[in-house]
Amino acid sequence: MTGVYSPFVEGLGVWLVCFFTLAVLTFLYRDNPLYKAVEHIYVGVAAGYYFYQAFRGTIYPNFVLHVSRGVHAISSGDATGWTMQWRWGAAILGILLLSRLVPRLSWLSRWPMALVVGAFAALNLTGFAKANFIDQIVGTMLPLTSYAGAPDSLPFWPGAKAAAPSVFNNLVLVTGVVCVLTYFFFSTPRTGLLGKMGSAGIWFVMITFGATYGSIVLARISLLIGRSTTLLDANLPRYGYPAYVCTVLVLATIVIWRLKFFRSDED
Amino acid sequence: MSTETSNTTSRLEKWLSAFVALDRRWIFLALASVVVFFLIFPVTMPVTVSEQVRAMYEAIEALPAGARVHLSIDYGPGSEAELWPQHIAILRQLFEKDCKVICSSLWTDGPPMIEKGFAVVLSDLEREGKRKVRGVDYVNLGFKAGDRVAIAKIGSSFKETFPTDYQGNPTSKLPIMQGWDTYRDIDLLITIAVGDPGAVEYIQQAQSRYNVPMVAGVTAVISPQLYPYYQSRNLKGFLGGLAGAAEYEKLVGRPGYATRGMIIQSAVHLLIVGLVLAGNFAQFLLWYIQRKKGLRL
Amino acid sequence: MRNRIPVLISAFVGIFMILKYFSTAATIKRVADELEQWGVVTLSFSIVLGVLNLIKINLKAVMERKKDWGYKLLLLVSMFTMMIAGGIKWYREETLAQSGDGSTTAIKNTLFDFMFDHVYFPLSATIFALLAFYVASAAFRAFRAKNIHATLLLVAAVIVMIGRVPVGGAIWSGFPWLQEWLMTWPNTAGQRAIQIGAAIGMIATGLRVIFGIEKPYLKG
Repeated sequence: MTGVYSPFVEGLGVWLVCFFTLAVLTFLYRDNPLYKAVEHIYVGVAAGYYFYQAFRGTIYPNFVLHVSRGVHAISSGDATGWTMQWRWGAAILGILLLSRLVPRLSWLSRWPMALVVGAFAALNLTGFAKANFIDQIVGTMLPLTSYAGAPDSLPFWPGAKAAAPSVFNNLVLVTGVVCVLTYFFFSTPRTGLLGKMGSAGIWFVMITFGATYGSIVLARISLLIGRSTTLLDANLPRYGYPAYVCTVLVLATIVIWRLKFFRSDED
Repeated sequence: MSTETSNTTSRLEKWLSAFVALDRRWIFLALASVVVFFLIFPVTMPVTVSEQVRAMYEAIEALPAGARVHLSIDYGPGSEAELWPQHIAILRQLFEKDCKVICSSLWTDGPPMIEKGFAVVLSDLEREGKRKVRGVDYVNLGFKAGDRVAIAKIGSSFKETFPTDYQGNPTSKLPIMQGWDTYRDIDLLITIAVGDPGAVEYIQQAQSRYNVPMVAGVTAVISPQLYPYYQSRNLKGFLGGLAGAAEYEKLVGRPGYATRGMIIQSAVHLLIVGLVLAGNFAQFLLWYIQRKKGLRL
Repeated sequence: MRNRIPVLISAFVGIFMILKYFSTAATIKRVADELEQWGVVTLSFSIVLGVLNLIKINLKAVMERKKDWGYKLLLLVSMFTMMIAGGIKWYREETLAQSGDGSTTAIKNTLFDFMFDHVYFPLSATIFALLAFYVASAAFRAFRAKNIHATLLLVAAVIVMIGRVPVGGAIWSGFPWLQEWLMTWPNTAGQRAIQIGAAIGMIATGLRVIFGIEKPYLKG
């Protein structure tokens, strides 16, 4: 790696990190000019960054470099250079996509959209068919009677491992899959055995959604822990305790705004 | 009902109604207070390793020296808190096993995260006297747009999909890219991903198509969806969120940021569960009082 | 004609992508590989489209001095600063890459890197971190055990929340076991059934799009 930030730039960076973090957190009180300003900065910087990555990451290497190598090949008498010029089709379609910016010409964007939609449809078809359909059905074909290798003890804590396959656990899995699939089958009336299986399916669905919600809480709290740790780690004496100072500055800004400039019709 | 009892019930009803309709900013304040408290006064607690995390660790441990690993970093700053500890732990383990690490990203935010990962892990390794050379031991191929189309393209030819690496060097000239080009030549596919495109798309377009061994590190939101793929052996193992990262840190023997974060996570979860249970209790009590008054059926 | 050509494009691309999955014929592979490259390049132009659209909307608002035009001007200034910084970084790294013999170097002290590390990174991370507060308040407000199903959802969520963190093991040593069992067996059953159902729908939709029965690209 060549180059690191100078101490001044590094210090400036730490102060900016603290300031931006606390400015965004002011939204928890209510929407305010400080939050709006940093939100717009974020959108602007993000858009500029994505623009750079689109060109440098894909358009330049996969189109510009490719066709220029083709031209070089043609000039050296290599006929494969001509087939490399097919890539112009990608650029033409890409430019046609930009016609969406002009309402009168936006119908031209249907061609590149059709290419993308067709590609996605094909890849989803094959991908889902194998990984989400065949492999999952194969994975559900489990032994439901005792078999070699099945543990002797009941599959409960503390004797057995939670994730260890056993006849009981296999039964739970197979029953659950069949019942939930039955629940989502709407072509016949929910009576008799099918009705009971559908009802059991809802129970499994509720457990699934509950587990998902618990995982969502886990995920979101981790993000807050990350920011808090960053603020704490940045709050060093050699930088002048930026977290403390920025907290005071941001709070003062919000208080002044609330007392002097806030209008209730802004809500 | 006597006047006194009636007054008490009325006060209780008011209090319960206020509690059930508590301004969310009080909850924000409680949450922030718990986080700050446990940041300043950390406590350690043992972490239990789950089976799929252990399986992932063993899958990477089983790699021989020189094994070719495609590490797809598909996350950005928004999920850095959960996935960065996983990223660092896995990358360190790969370098310690002398694997060839080929990094790329399907997310625009990915390439700088890849560079940051290299910077942190390689500086640690240099302090231990181990040196890795870019272009020989590791490479950052950069970002590629295209979602699952890009994965399908990568599968059939890495060098055609990535004609240059992130710095602009032609991949056909890099020593690490010589002698191979498709997923059939990859010993392990690892994705550290936050959403779409991510682990599920790699399973559909790469793992199930080319039968390449695969493990994944994902956010806790996505992790419930990966259990079926683990059970059906599409995945050899996976990590879920900060908890998964903490378990992995325990296995690699380097407790770090994730382990430190788990105690704060524990405290916040207790707070949320406490609030939920208290809210339910208050709501049921309120309904009971209102039913007794004839205000509710 | 306007509507027929996109249908033909979609069918052509779809058929070749599917054929590539099943065939090892060199011609099919070459055509499908090139179509995949076209898809990759076209999708990168969609990012460009999004950015240009953002410029168009915000520039118009600034020039017409609409409400909050000051913020939009800030947005545009940030965007162009990042683009110019990216261009400078690209030029510097490209010069280094070309001047060498395939040697690989990375430049890390540019304005682009500074803005990514100290502007984009904290803003992005903190905006997502706000969700933590809202998920906590949503749990308090919405998680009411009104019926047996809601109670089951609540119990499952509580088991996962407590069992997944170290304090769960400290409260009761069976909590981590229970959480892992719940995720590995009942949760897998529900997720798998949903995935199988989604796969059936995706196969049907894919076929409808390729055969031109459904034409989502013709809307708008």
